[in-house]
Amino acid sequence: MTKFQSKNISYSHRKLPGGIRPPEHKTISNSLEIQTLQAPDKVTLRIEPLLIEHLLVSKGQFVNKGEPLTDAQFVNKASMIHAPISGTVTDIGPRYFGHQSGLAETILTIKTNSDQPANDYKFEPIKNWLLAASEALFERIKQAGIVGLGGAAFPTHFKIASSKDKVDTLIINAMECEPYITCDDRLLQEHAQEIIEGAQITASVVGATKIIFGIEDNKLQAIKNLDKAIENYTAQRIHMEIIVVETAYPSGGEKQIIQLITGKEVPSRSYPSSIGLLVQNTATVHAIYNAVVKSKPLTSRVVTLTGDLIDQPGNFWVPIGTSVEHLIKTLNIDSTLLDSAIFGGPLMGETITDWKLVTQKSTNCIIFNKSPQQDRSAKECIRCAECEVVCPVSLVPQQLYWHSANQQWDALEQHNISDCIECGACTYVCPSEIPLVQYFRYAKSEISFNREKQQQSEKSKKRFDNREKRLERIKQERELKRQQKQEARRKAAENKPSDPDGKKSAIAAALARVKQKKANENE
Amino acid sequence: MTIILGTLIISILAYLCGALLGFASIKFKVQGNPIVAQINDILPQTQCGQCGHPGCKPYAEAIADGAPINRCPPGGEAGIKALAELLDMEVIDLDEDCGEITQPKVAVIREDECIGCTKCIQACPVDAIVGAAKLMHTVIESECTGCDLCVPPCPVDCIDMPFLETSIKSWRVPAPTEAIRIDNVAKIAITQID
Repeated sequence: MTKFQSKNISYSHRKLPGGIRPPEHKTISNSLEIQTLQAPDKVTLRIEPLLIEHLLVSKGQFVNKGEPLTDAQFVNKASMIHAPISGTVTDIGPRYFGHQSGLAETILTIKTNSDQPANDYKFEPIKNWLLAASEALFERIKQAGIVGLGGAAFPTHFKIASSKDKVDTLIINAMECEPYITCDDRLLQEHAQEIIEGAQITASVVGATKIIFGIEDNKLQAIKNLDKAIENYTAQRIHMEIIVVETAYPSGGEKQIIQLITGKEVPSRSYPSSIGLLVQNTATVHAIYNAVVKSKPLTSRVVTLTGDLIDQPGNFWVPIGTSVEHLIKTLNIDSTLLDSAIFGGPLMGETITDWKLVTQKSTNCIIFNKSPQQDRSAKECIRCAECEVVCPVSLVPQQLYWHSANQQWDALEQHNISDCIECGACTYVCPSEIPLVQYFRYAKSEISFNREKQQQSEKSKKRFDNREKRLERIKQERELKRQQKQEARRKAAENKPSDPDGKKSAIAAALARVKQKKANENE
Repeated sequence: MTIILGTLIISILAYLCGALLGFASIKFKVQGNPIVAQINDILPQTQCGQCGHPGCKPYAEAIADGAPINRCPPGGEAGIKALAELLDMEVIDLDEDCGEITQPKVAVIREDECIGCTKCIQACPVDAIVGAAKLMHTVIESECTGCDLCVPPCPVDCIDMPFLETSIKSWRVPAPTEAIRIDNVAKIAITQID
């Protein structure tokens, strides 16, 4: 392996507990420069439930490319969305859009409209970000709708806000460990300078004092260009270095890259900020650069379009919300040979068969391969423990599989299923072709459902008990009042003089007289 | 001499232990029957009374006294299984007299028809209905256990009990079946030769 001699580069010899080394399939797409995809005439965006009430546009309205579609005040736990192309909003509403559940999601469709002149929307430029307040930079990141572009799509402003002033090191994740994907590799080769700038902005917003680029040793050109860019970066304020690790999957997982680079482990169920670290993906910091320096919101991203059905696989700037249909058309893919496409990498991605589905902010790769002709249905687990060897978080997948299939949720929690990162290494090595990760997703979903049900029942129990107590108290109070009243009445009766105005004796006298009279008459 | 010393030491130790045990039995005394709390934790806390007891805790007390464990439809088969495991009993079928296992429901008041009689408020075991006399009432959906107890007292029949709808948020990943093998398509994509 070629090793570079540079003061910025060091080689780490740390390894993950498990990990696999699948064929990379990266050379198919990483030799060509990033191209701009022919713009689609229609894009479709998913609207998060939190944002449905805060849409700024309505059906029939014309929007410019980059125009915000949601109200920025309400995106604290979500992220802003912007029009990826100029055109007219033709549809807003709940439609089935490829969610596994078959349930409808709220979507928004924009179609190009050549009648209207379009002016691309841009933010107010920040002249020199070095002089700008960190609040202003943070606000810009939030306004630009930036999310984690490595695949998780977690709102970046949310992650930054929760690690502000708690972290000293910013790690830029350039591992890109999954086969086929080369978008971060190409970004680093072509835009290393901008990525560095983006990293500097991010580090200064969170108050980090050090930036580490973590990268695998299979991306030689990217390492070289990054090193050169660091060398040439004169305005350097925050220290930067590159740590190269041996190529292995899944070195790009958030907790895995931390383990490889710092040797520290993020505790179970907590975030990297708890040990003073923040991890951002390469494409994410590039998007931050675009938002702050070029005043552009996140409306398109680099997507690796690869597979044996594409004549010239490569990386493309693709507007968010572009349909697979459009990709098939513009890339001349023979759809008769295509049964399914893979969104994301082959290990963690999702296989889709509906060409109406669209790219999202998190879509880093789409694989178009000829449909496989092999039968690979699952067989019995033979307890070979191959999955145990490759698990990067040292779990026991075969045991987890056993408990998941038998719905033993307590046992699964004891075996720390929540630490599973669903990387798919176990599924990849399983000789019985058992879809292990699917079992774990099912089990996790059931466990969280049961937990919620438990919480709900605790709450109901408390409310029921409180009501019982209240009813008991009211009853006692009533009883007390009744007793008090009775007591008062009795006392009043006692205290009353027996014949205050002589009425009683008058009546008695009258009765006696009547009696006397009657007796007299009888005689 | 040694015998006397030995006897002395042993008896002092015995007194000390006795005092410690006596202290512990007062200090750490368990209030109530702990098995009732454990049973109550398993019951679903819908407080629906379908078991014939006025709430989940009374039913838990009854079970501790030997009542059958199969009288809770909202708890379903899973509930009976958990109770059987806790009490080391056999798993039995749900008692049909108590009702059927249904999907979770929620009470919804048709608000324009409500006359404000407060009868449902008094019937709700978890205080999930808000409103005042001669004013409209409404159900706090997140607190409603779907127990049905508010329906019979309503003089104008304005309470519906629809099933809780699954949303994307409450959707659960299904168990892998023979039909779901999509992971392997991706696996072939890696293992094939360029």
